Amino acid sequence: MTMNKYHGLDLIDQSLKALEIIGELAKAHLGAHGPEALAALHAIAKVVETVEQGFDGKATLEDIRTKIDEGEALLHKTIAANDAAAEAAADAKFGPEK
Amino acid sequence: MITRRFAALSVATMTVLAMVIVLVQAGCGGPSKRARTLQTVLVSVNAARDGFAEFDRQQQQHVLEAAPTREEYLAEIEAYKKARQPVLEYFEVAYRALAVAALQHDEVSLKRALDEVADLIAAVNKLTGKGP
Repeated sequence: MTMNKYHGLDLIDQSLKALEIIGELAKAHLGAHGPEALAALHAIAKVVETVEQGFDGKATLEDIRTKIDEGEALLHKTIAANDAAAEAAADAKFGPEK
Repeated sequence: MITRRFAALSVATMTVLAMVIVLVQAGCGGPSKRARTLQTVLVSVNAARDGFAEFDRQQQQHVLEAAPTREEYLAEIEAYKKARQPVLEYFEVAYRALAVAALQHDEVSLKRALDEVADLIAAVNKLTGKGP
């Protein structure tokens, strides 16, 4: 793995972190309007710019395939966690299911 | 209230749309551009995934809060999960189409992946009442 490829993957990680920050921002300002919405859009534009500038053939297709698998696995893991949390909350509200 | 629940998702959707615009500008020429395109689409799908996961969490919480009895909760949550299932399948199809595109070097697989992502966005918007 070359320094350049690491650089590309670092940028993707940074982009993902930025997207997480945007998600948190949206959650913190649910129903944002005016300056807050503009700030979120600006943050998104910066992420897009970072991604666009960051990938110049430095990440291999194999790297991308790995990240695709991780992305799909995280989807199922997160949804399963949501279901489990909801079930636990239902038990807390109604009592354990008989 | 509905706006509050959907805000995280709408940001993710805007991100996807912004990145699709970038993709159109980037084109799909040589191998480096292909990798960059796939990477960008993957980031956008992951962003949509995170937004959808947050929507799902809030929706399940909302169903629980609104249900006066366990029976009504079970009926409502089953209906929601039935409506959610096609979206999960669209996510799977989009991820698999990306994986195929990452194994091939043709434009057809890349275009198919982009089409699947577009279908995914439509499915998410349909579930959340944001689209046709």
